Amino acid sequence: MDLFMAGLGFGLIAASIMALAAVGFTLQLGVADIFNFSFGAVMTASALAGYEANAAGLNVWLCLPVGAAFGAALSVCLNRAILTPFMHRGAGLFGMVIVTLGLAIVIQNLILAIWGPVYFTYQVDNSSTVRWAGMILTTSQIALAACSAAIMVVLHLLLTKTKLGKAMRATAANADLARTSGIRTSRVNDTVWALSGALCGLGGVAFVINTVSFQAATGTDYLILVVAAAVLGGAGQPYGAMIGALIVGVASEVSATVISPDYKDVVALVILIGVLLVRPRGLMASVDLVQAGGEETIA
Amino acid sequence: MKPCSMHTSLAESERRPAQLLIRDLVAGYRGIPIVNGVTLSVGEREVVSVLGPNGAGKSTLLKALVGLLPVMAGSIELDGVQITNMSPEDLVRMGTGYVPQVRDVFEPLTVRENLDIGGYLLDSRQIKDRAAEVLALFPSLQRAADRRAGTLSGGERKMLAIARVLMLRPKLLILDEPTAGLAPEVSKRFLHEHVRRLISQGVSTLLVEQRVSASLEISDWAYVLVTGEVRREGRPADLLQDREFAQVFLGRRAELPAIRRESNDM
Ligand SMILES: Nc1ncnc2c1ncn2[C@@H]1O[C@H](COP(=O)(O)OP(=O)(O)O)[C@@H](O)[C@H]1O
Ligand SMILES: [Mg+2]
Repeated sequence: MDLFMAGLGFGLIAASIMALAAVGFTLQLGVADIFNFSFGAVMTASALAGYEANAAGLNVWLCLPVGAAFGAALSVCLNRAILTPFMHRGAGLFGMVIVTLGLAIVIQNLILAIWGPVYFTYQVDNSSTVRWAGMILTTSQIALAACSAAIMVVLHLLLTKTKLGKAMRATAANADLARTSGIRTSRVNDTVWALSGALCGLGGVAFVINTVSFQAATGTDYLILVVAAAVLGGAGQPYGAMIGALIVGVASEVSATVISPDYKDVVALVILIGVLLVRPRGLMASVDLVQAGGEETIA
Repeated sequence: MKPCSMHTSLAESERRPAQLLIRDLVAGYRGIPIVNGVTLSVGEREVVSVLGPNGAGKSTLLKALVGLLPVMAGSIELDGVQITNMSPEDLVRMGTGYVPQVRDVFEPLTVRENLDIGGYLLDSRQIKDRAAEVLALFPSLQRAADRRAGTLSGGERKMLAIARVLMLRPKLLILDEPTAGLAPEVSKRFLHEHVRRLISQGVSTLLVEQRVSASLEISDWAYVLVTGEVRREGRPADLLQDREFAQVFLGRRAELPAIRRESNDM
């Protein structure tokens, strides 16, 4: 039982970090119609930007906004310079999978080429811990979870209360209809890439604040769990991604402590397959904000 | 084409000054024309119908008009301004309001959010006021204001689709089969109550319809589109006198493919 509670604690932390990435990933899927396999590599690159800032003396918590800004800028650039041109030339969903896989490999190997095959380590103060109901967590882990929860609330308000958020959802649901309503969807698209890129960068830095160290392939390896969370909740659905992250995060950490860390990914994928057998469009597909489980849901 | 020119031009001279003028329009998909040299106009405060069998190119014509498809040849003028190949985003700003045949609402958004998006070009204070006005026109929508558009019934959904474009007080309403999927009685009432009535508010309407008699009842002028070309045009009363028209559309409506055969003999 103790082991389970400890695993649950780690799982909740993992879930809150995963939610950042999974929501970013699912926004790209929902609004831009891109299944972005380079998402993990952008996470790594953002974590690296955070690492450089940290190494230059910046407090590790201030590396979060650094990573967010870097992830946003890199995502907007990649979209404008590479993804949109391919889409305009008629690359379909599967064509774009190949393009983004290629991008992931390029980014990952650029990092290897420039920094070498090393482990990067953040300076995090993990000395103080909190024990509660069998969970043992560091204060920085709790702070991460709180940050993530706050960001999810802000995101919810953005998507449901603001004109920009509604325009994003309208564009995701039906881009042609959005255009005939006067929404400049290409600008909305840029905003979505900036927002999802910021979440991607935050996810990358938050992941490393939790695990302390990473290397060139860390983000890409982690992407399996992020995709599992996003698809589990319903591709393109932000609340779905949050719930998916909660399930995948908790299940993978509990199985890591109770069974063995080797089974993390396996457990996540087994859950994913199990859910998709029962609900092929994911848990939240028919009730979420972005797509009403219509003909254009992707997975 | 069979000329009925004298007859037509007399009636034509009684039409109102053109608000929308489409000349020799060619449009289609991936460079292949579907609409082939269509000329038509909508006068100020007129309801003009475009009738024709399935696959005639009616929806394609409207998509080219609202900027969702490229215009391959020809020109479009709105209030004397060239709008050929303008983007959909800019066309709304010129005063067009387009309701597509399918995918006509934002399904995951609530009724109210759909109206908010309809009023995207207004500021938030105006959106609120205008949404209240528009909802007052559609009482059943008012009751469903917080429901997701995807869960509405067919009739409510079409009302929402029209309410959404009314948010910006368009001067030209472009409706693609607004009664598709509605029961005949409901569609008739819908056309009278919700389409014709808008004319009194100064809105001109280009209406594509499959329900021929119901849409003729509310129209000032009608065009018959067959395989991408205008085969007939005229006042509804005159078209109904036209034997071939009556036979094709009113007598044997269920066998629409027959139109193609007959129209080839013309
Ligand atoms: N997206 C599309 N791509 C290619 N061809 C299309 C597309 N949509 C419609 N068409 C073709 O254009 C023709 C006219 O279609 P449409 O304009 O929808 O007719 P209508 O609205 O009069 O029923 C049809 O033959 C149809 O197959
Ligand atoms: Mg049609």
